Amino acid sequence: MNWSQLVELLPVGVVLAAALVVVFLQLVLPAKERYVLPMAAMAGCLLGLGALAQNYLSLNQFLKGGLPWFAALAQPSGHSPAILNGAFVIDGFGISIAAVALIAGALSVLCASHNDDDSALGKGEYYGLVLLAVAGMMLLGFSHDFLTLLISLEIMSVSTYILAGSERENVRSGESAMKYLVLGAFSSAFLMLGMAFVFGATGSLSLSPVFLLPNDPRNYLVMGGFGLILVGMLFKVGAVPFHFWVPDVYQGAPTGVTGLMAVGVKAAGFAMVARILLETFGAPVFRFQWTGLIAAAAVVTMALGNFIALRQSSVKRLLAYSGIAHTGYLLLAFLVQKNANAAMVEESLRAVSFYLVAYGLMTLGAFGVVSLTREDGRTLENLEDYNGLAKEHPALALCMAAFMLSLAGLPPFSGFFAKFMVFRSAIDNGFVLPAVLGILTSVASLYYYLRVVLRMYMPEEGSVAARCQYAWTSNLLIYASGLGSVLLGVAPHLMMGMK
Amino acid sequence: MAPYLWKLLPILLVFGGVLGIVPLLVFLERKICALIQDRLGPNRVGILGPDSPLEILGIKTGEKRFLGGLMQPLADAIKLIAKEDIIPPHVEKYLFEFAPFFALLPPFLAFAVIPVGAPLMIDGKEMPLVVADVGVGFLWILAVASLSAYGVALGGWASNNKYALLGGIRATAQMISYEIGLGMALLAVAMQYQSVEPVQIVKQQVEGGFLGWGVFHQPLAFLLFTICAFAENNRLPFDLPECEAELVGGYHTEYSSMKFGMFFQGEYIAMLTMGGLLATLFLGGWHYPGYAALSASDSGFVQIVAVVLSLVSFGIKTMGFVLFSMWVRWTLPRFRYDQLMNLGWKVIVPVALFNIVLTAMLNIH
Amino acid sequence: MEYSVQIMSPAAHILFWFVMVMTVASAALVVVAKKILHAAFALSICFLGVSGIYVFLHADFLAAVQLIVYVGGIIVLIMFAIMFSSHTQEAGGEGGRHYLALGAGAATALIVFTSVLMMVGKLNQPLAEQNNRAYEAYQHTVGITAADLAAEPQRLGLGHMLMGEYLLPFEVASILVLAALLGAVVIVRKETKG
Repeated sequence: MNWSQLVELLPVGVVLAAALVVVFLQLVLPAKERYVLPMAAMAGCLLGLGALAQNYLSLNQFLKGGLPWFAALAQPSGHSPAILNGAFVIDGFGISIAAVALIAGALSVLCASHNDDDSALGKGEYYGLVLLAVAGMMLLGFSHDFLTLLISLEIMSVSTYILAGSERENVRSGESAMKYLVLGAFSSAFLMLGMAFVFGATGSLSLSPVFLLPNDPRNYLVMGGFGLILVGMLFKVGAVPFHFWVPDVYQGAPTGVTGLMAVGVKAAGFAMVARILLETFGAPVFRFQWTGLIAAAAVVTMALGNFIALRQSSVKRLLAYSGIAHTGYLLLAFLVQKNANAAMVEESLRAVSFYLVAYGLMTLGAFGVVSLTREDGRTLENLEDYNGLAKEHPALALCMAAFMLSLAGLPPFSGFFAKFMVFRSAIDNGFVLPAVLGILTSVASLYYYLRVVLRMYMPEEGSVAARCQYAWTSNLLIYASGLGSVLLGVAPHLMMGMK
Repeated sequence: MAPYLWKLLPILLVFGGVLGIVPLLVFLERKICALIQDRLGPNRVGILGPDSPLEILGIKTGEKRFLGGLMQPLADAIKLIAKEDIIPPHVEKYLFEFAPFFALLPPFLAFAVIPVGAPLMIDGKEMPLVVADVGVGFLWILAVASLSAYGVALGGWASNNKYALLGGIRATAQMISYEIGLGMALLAVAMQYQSVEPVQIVKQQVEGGFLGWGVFHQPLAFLLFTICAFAENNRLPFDLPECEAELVGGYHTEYSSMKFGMFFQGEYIAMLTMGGLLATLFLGGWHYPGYAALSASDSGFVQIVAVVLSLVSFGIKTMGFVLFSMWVRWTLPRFRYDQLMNLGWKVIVPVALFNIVLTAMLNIH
Repeated sequence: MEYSVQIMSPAAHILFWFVMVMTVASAALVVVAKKILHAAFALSICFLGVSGIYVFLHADFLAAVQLIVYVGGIIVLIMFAIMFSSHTQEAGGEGGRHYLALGAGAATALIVFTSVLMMVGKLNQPLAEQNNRAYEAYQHTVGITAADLAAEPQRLGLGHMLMGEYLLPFEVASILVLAALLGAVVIVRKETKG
């Protein structure tokens, strides 16, 4: 094994080191000086991003023909992106997932940094767990082996289970952690059993494609394993019919953690889906079998998520159902036709990756706003609480409106382009009906996103204007993600042009 | 004699020996207690004391009162078997009946991998005097010993009695905590000998002669192991699960007759097993100085003597640990529960970790 | 190196079926037991059976680890937690058993079982070949000879794998343990304000 390749995992190492430093600082610093902790955690995230960028640039320069976008599509002649005996791959897709994870981590840190009053959890442990979760997400984005995949998934999950329950005085938070833990462990069990089946059939832990002759009896085992893995994966990304945990968990968890779950966990989950669907089971014979399933899951997920969201009165819950709906849109991108060539698959993956970044920015921003609207240390998460936010905090309301419109998929924002690419990918691959249904549900979703905007700009009579807690850190983040959403919407080629 | 019949020899030797010696240990415990407390101990049932058959026949033995009561083990056994077996109405019946087996069986099974004597030469092939020379070695002992927590846990819970339950809870926590220390101490030993098989470990110690004994190479592991062995066996100073002052009888409060006897026996067999393991890993097993000379002899008789002496040597070492633990029991006071946990997690585990690192550093080739 | 097929002796056969029946029966008992401690105890018996299966598969090391970790560690901890809960709370049992859930579980188990059976029933020759190939590849990577393996097949092989090819996942697993440890401390610790 070539240990010098470990250097390519440096971004993960930076985040892990930051996690240890933060936990250690919590122990040695007196209470007065603990304001350093979020700074250290932020520094970890930013340094991680820096290392990631440096990694990307140097690899791009070093490899002939540039860094491949997806390992499975790398030309045999080119440099293999797999490192450390194939335990990990460093490719463009993985790097984009890691970037989303780091940004989500940064939000989570910022959200927690401005409400010292009501969190019983020691700050050091909170930031440490956030960073550990981020490290797990990054590893999941890079992992190329059932073993590393599973371990990274568990690092991410275990950290988020605890984070979800970190507001210990809040019963909801405990409920959220409990549900997340039980269902998460349940889905991991499915995943593991499926992996065991596949391993039993192929004798290999690698995610590289499974090739079996049609009459090979091991096909039964592989199909059984694939079914179990699929269940586990759909659980993790929160697709219908395995979405039950999402609303309760998102609503109960502290807002910063919800942002981390909605963005980071989802991105990492989709990294897993992409690797397993398009690489391990990417052979046409398998693809033929799973596209129908995925299409059905995508359509049901979009429909259910959007229609239940119509009736929500809590913004957090609304965002949770909107998250389910977006899972459905993302699944559309995985519909690749039987004889799709590498370029088409790459196009789909770019759509996934762009969608994740765009969705990440707008969801993070939205959760950032939710975490700021507080009164007496209590998060105001009901729709009524947003009455007249525009009068009190025009900039914040403007950002929130931008996020909502972007989530709905209106043109000047990144959400439009993300949805456009996903629908186009599905139509290009011949899945017209799911795409059309997707567009229809997307139109329906406009209703509930606009409800939030209307509340802010046209308050109902006799209602009190919401008051926000001022925190420049979170504001900064919200403005940044608002700017990012607009920028990616206006100039999507900034990201799509990246090789 | 067919070769496989020879395999019966260690089985008979080990299980017969262990079962036979337990009543004697009970007697010894009482006598040692008496010695330490300046009493006479049991001295009524026997052939030497007052009222003994010899005395009745007119032979004066009254001066040897301390040695009276030699028949006490027999009387104890008859008493335990013949007593009424009471199953209180409030207990959880099935688990209540089941628990004593879990107390008795594991230490018994654990003894199976401990070589009790020098290997015999049969038809030119070496046969180690061990019931089962399994590849996993003392991992087997750890695995089986961990089962004995079930005896106390189930017994305590099934009794449906708060003292028994408290005893069971204490025992479970204690056994789990100290199992970790025990396992880590043994890990260093496995690293030292690069093997987990007791037969191999003893072989290496024998090759090193007297100074090859494990205690000279792994003194820290020896110390840790001894402490953890006490705690694992629920012996004083770690006998909180059954500390009379607070918990009546602990987890076996509700048990009577032979079911109680099984808990009782289990405790003594566990002592023997730990003693045997200690001897095997740290005191050269069955090895004794001069074994090399004897076994090199051409005479078959001398070789047999060498093997018999090895059995005696092993017995002495094992009994040494058992007697030591009795001595400790009647000398030291009991820990408080938080002290017990602190010792387990904050002292034993870190020291064991340190020992592992130390062993690794000293053994880099 | 070829896999030698060992025919089990009649006694081993009886033992095999005993272990299998014990494992499945206790697993079923876990699901239907009314008292939670009974379920935990049945689970421990089930794990004992699983460890027995490992022995029949010649995975002695795994069997020992299964005993130490699951039977002797985790289930005891579960029992420990149960013992802190009250006896009376569970005595009544609310609402009876969930026959729907039981049925769904049984159906899932049946499907999984049939799929394995269909696979194995077809022929297990290719599997054996596959295993041989995996075995050879593994020998190649680890760089030890068949003689080494014959001397100490289980632990040596596992040790080499964990310290060689799979060192990275092994080390990454320590991060997982760190996260769990941190979480345990966070959850259990007393409230600290300021």
